[in-house]
Amino acid sequence: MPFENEELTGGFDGLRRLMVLKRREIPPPGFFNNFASKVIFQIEAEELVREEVPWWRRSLGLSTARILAGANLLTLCGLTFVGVSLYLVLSGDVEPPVNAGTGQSLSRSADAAGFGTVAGGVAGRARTSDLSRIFTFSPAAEPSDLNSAGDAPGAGNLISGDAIVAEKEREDARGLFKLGGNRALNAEPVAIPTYRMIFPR
Amino acid sequence: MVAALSMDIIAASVLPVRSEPVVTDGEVDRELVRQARAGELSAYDDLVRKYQERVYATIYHMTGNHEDASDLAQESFVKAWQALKSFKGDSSFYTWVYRIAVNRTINFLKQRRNRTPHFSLNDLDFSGENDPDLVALVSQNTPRREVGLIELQTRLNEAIQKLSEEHRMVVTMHDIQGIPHDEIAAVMNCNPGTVRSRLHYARQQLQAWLADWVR
Repeated sequence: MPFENEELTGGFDGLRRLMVLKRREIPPPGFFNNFASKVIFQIEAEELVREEVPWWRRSLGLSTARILAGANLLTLCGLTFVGVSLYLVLSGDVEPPVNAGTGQSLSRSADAAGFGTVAGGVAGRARTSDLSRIFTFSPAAEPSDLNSAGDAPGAGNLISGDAIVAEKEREDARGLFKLGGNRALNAEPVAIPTYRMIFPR
Repeated sequence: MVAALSMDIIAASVLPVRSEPVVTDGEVDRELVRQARAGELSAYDDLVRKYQERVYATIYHMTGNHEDASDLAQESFVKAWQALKSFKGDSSFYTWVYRIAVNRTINFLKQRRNRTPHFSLNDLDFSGENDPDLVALVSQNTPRREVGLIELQTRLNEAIQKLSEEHRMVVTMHDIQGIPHDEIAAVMNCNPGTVRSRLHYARQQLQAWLADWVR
């Protein structure tokens, strides 16, 4: 025992006797009979689990918790991106997306589909004013806006996309109608003819 | 006498000298490790049985809790199996597995630092009543031997738990388990001189805390 040689003279003799007490602390009888078996069982169990894990996760050392954390992070990033984009569109800094095929504002087409939109394409003043409390709208985006189809009689009814395009082209030709996101939103309130409902025969 | 000598000489000349290879402990371990690395769990089972008591005892004296020691010892052996491929054989298997156990225990203790350690002495087979050294020690301090032993053991465990993890480890390995300085240094990855100085400091601390018992 180490205490019995050079350290014995170091004045720790009493402590040496106390340490004998610690050596007497042993686990319950039979504890070590099963210990090795438990270790082997655990090893086998973990090997089985490892075999079930796909090779790409094993090679990357990815655990389920890490994958879940990554997925959560991606979702959060996506939501943040959508939120920021939506905010920018609503605040008028970015032009609302335009349908490539028809040249028609998406907000308007969504409105036409009966969903209603917030970027000035809202059918009805009440809805616009409710959203104004939540989001900051530029004054120009108020009812005099080009998209304020809600003022038109029969707003909310379905309007044929081709009919709108045809009408718009006629208006453009007369120089009274100018389509453009920012320009439209920030335009001075001028008397702009509202859409007429054109029902296909 | 002469007859006996002559018989020995005859036997030596007739019987071939059996040159049994002396298999050392390290060689046995190396062979078991080689087999275990090849995937033989029975070889690893032998290694676990060989070192389970020492590994468990070290962890137990560090944590002061039987359940924690049992879990940590088990985890250490499982971890050692998983890392067996990275074992290069620079040190003995015993030192290597000990190092794994020590590191895991120190990490566990650092996480547990905010919790009060729970001593599970009741779960242990304590047979100190028959030790003459202890009997003499306790009878000097308390009139009732049984009460005195339990109190002494509690005080001793509390004092050991007050030491830092590194100092506690050195005291456990050297003063309780009797592992020499250089082996402790290999396990703890430090100089033997560091081990000695830590040991001296830890003993001083313990002696101060247990001044009533250490005379």
